[in-house]
Amino acid sequence: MKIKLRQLLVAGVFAALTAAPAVNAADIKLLNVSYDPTREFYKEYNEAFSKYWKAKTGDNVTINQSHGGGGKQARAVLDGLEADVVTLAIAFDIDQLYQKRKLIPEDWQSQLPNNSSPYTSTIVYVVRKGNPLGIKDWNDLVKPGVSVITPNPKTSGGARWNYVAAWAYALKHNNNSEQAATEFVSKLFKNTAVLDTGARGSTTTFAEREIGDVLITWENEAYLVLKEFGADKYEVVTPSFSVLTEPPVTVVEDVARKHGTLEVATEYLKYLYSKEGQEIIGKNYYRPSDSEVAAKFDKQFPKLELFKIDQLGGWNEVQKKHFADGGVFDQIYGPGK
Amino acid sequence: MKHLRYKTLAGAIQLALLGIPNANAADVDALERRIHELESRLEKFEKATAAVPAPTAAAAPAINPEVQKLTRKVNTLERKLEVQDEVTASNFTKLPKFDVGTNGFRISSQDGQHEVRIRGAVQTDARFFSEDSNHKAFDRFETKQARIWLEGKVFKDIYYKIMPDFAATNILPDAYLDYAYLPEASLLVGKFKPSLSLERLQGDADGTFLERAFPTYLASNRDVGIQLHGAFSKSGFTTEVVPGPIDARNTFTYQVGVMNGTGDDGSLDKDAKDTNDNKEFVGRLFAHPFQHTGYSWLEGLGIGFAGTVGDPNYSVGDANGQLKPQQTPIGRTTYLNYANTRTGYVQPVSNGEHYRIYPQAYWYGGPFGVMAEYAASSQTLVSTKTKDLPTGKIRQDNTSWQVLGSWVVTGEDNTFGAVKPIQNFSPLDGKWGALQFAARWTEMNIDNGTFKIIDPTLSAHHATAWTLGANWYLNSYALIRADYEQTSFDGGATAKKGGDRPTEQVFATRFQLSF
Repeated sequence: MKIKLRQLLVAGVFAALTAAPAVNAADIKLLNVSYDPTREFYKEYNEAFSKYWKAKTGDNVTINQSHGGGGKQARAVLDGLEADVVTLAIAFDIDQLYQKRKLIPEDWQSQLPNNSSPYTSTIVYVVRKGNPLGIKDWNDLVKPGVSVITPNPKTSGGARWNYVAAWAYALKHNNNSEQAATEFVSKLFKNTAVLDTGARGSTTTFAEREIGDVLITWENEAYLVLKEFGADKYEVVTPSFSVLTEPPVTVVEDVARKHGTLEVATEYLKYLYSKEGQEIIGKNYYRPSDSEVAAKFDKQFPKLELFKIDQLGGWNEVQKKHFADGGVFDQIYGPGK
Repeated sequence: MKHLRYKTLAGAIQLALLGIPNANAADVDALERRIHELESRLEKFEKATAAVPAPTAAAAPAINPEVQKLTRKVNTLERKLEVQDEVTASNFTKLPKFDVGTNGFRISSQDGQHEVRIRGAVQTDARFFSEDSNHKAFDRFETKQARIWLEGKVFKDIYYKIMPDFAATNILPDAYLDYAYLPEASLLVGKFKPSLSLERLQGDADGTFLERAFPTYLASNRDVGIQLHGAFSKSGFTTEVVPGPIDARNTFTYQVGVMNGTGDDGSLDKDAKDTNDNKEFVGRLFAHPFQHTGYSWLEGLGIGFAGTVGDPNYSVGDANGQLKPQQTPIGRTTYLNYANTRTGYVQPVSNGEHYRIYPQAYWYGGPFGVMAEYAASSQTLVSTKTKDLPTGKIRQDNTSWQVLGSWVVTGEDNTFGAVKPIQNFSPLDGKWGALQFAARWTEMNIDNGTFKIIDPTLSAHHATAWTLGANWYLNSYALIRADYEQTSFDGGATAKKGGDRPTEQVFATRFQLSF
């Protein structure tokens, strides 16, 4: 009778004895788990990286993409989705991969330049052509009768950026009164017609289903609406004040090590900082971090006052105060509120 | 049509609201009224619009702002429902799975890494003795087992079983953890059946007769310790992870363990502590040499060998070292009682080398099954004695064997586990379950040296039992057994009474529910 273990041992020894340096191109697969509106950008970027990697190493690399609300995506990885890299909307969601399962090192954010954020962006509005309600700034969104579309901050990283931009605007215009800011975001969410689970869902609601007067969304997503649904139907409104969003990226080291993809996954993210990567970033309406490339795309991004999340104490503080169970968002939003 | 749409919308919104903690009937009613109102208004506008003559091709149709507003509201409600559906579907994927049916009762996580299985067994017996004018045994009804237990796994490969028995003196027969990271090497820790007797290792509800044969009673019943075990399969076949002390599925299995050592048929009670520093080593190899070979009639052949070795050093008077009485299989009457010593001796304890060997085999092919087992238990018994009596230390070599055959006459597969009826018992539908007939011969030989200490007029030195049985499987959970057994003895009575303990004839039944 042949025993499986013995066969495996013999095969292992034989393989070790006869192993020669690999001469054939390897076929490598990566899974990039990302937030909702990055589909188009990463599709283009992945093709570019595959070509770059093939030219550099001769290996074929295929990058599979998974997209959804940032919070939901982080939970999926925590629940076992084997992502080689994560490219999410906010640092807090990525940090959970260390806090809850030690899938990444504690200092993950220091492993790539700019706190591991290869680009920045901001939050703007999309309105119907002609801006029939004359929406220009955040205070226009809380007026009675304005129908707002934004995703659910409980599931979407982008929605949390939307929320904190409104919160910070209210603080700024109300002498830092948190009570006034709470009332402001409360009114904003009372005006919200549909809370989708992610930014792409909100785009569908607003542009495809034609629901709502104004869509609060990522800058890149706003321009995508114009491209996909027609600049003759929609227009982008940049408020006077918004948030500097810094979506971070990292290798899920625990998974990449298991898959044997640590090197290629790391290079995949580093390539985001290359001139080529930054060009693709700019083309897709994200704000490049490379100053030279940023200058090239400068004209496509209107000027506005941007605040950083650190001014509110950083994401850990904001998450705990606003989006944890029982936080400000739970207090202001819910049936009957 | 519109009415249907309204109903569907309202119903769906109601469903959606059910998931929201603060939603109440008033909210739902208000929402229903609002939708109804909107629908009525929309209907009026549609009628009014229909009455207006069609515009000319040159003139663009003016869309009534009110209609536009209503349409947007309906669209919003529909989109809200879609989002709610998405959320609900996503939440469903995280809910644990409940499975209740012929495979038992279990709850498991969606990823299959965690599982709790609720199991139970009740055995209610009746025993009737004939030719028993001396009342050596009493006709009786009794609850043999009343168990409810949990078994399952956590984090994929840590298996567990916690099984109390409310009808037994030893209230906790099994309580163990099994870390089965690899099927080839698993670590079993806790209280479980030591890997020795084949029939003992068979599931307590799965045996062919009400009670096991003589060889079982030379092995420990339960013991506490640690055991490394694993399995290998034939090349090209997957090795199954089989947690716990018995694996009757894989091609080749092994078990090696270190246990307290509880003596022949022994088991420590739930809170009892071992009082012996020397531990017992247990080893067992078992193989299905023809598994996956295509020789269908030989695939169910299993052969193995098991043994223990230990060197207990109990002091006379230590209850842990005293040997358990030996009893007849079905009748459960004591024919060898170590407490019944000759005058001048006290009850012996096990003190000195103790080893056992257990060659064992079974074969199951189609409806037929055979099991055979031989047991030898060699140990040193020590008793104190008065000065003028011969030695209080003896070497005892007991042996035993059994062979049983069974036939499932209704055609189901005979197995080492339970028979699964093709048709569950349902007499009005002409379905009768499964029926199995069985016969067994078993003998126990007690070393004659034993009777230097034990009174030979009160304990027999040889017992032979033959048994006929029938098992009626009503379904995969319920079973009715009926056994007749006759046990004859050598020794165990005074010369005046013929020298031999009277033959025991017992008819016993069991109603069993095990899931």
